[in-house]
Amino acid sequence: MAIDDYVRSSRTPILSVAGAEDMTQRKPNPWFVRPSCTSAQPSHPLGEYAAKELKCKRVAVIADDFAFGHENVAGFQRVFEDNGGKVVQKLWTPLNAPDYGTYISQLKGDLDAVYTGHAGSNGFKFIRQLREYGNKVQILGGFTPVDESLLQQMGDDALGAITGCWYSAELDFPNNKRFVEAIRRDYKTDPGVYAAETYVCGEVLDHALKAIGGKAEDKNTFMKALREANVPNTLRGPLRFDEFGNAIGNIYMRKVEKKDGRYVNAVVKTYPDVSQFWTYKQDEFLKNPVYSRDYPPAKNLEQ
Amino acid sequence: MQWQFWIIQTLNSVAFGGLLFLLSSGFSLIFGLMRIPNLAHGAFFMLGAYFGFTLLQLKLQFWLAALVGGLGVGLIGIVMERFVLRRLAGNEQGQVLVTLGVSFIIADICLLVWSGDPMPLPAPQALRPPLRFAGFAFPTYRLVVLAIALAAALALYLLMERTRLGAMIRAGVDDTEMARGVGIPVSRLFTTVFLLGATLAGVGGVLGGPILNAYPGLDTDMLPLALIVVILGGAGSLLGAFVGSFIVGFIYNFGIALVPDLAYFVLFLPMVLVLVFLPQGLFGRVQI
Repeated sequence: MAIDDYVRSSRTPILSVAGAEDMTQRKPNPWFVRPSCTSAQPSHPLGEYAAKELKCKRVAVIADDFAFGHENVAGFQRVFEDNGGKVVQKLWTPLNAPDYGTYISQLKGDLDAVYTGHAGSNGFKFIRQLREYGNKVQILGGFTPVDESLLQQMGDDALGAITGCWYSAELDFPNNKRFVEAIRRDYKTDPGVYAAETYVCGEVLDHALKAIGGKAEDKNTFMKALREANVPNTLRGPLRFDEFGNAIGNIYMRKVEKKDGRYVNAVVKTYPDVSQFWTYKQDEFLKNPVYSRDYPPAKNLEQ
Repeated sequence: MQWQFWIIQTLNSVAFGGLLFLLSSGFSLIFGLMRIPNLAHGAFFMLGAYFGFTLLQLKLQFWLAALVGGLGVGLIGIVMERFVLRRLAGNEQGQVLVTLGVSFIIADICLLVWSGDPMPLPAPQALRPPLRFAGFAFPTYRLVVLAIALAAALALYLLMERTRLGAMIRAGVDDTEMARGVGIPVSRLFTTVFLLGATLAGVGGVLGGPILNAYPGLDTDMLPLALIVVILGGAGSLLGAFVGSFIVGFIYNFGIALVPDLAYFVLFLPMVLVLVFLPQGLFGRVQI
């Protein structure tokens, strides 16, 4: 959002992977196209999955204390509570917390699951320390904590964690199989969402450029081609964009399992055609304030 | 539930305090003797963690890896002191800046060698299952680190109070000029203290590895903590580093648990108060 004004004034089409919700909601930028997702887009279906299929009733939520953590958690909390679940505890950890011991000790004892909205190495550290404290609770998460880039090192601690994301290295699409093989061969690691999102941007760009015969100088036509791109066979499956330039595509519920000696994000359920608004009406969604630390308000917190 | 909360948070606090002592004791000694905050100290800690990671990958026994990793960092400390800091003798500002520069270099080399992913260090198998008592669990390994920190504190105390080397260091901290005047080889003392401090930080890094992981940014996450410990406890004082470490451990854990909204400030508030009212810290002998 910091470069929003600049992008508008320079009229530069931007393919973005940043999750800030308002970029495609209340402050939509006409030059913006986001093939990945908003911060909360994968959390919505996970909220429903946790309530309806995992039958979780009482969940604690713990996440990095900055915009991404706030938004990611908010989406989960909203849908989870709308489906009968209760978020009974909400903990925010500073981005640079060296140690989560004090937070882990505060987690209530009778939870059905703990949802982690930690990004990068924080998710890794949190899950590890959680297990070190002997806490075997079910882990739910956003699309960052058990990313493939760290999954092998996380090992047994992450087994069974269920996260929502628009990508998994296990996806069975031909484009993805080629991608995963190539990354494995060249970088000796599995691609996670961070690798996939930039690749998908490339796929969308490729599709749009083909549609306009490579004439990217005409900015308006180029932008239109990007927004109207309906790419059936990206790494993540079929992909198109809503009127704000945000992706509409599959969201996968993934479970960390061990397969042939490797840890993988196995896909256990697919929610097709998920937009940033989930099942809510677009106008009502936009009338509400943007997801934040205190919105939606957590009404079921227990002391 | 209430008393359990107090017990676990206390355990968290002292365990964290133990780790902080390993990090800060060296920092305090260097600061006290050489009058410079060694801004590469966080990088020493991180380097120790990375060394430990590689040594453990080579299947070296855990405690041996801690020692070897620590000494490896200690050697780097000696090199830095003899060939870099000594060139700037008398130029304290220059020396501080150079330690900052070295910290960047070390951080970048770590990134180059070990890449950007966080690396967990495996704790010894026997210490992995948590200790269960009175209805709750606590990681065994953290308690062992605490025990080691206490043993290190005792060893350092005996060094400082009962050996000639310790007496020389204390003299150097109190009054460097006079120490030189009575024939104490202060320059050699600098090197020794740097070796000691860097080794302690390196060992702390390996021991902290299973708890914190080795990752780019560990140095900048830990250095402010060392600074706060030394500001609170006073530079140049082992007792100060000891007391300061546990105070910071308690403030960090209880502060976060009781006033979570102030998590980002909970450590800096007491530090600011100490700087205003008691600038040399609780036990310090050096004016900052």
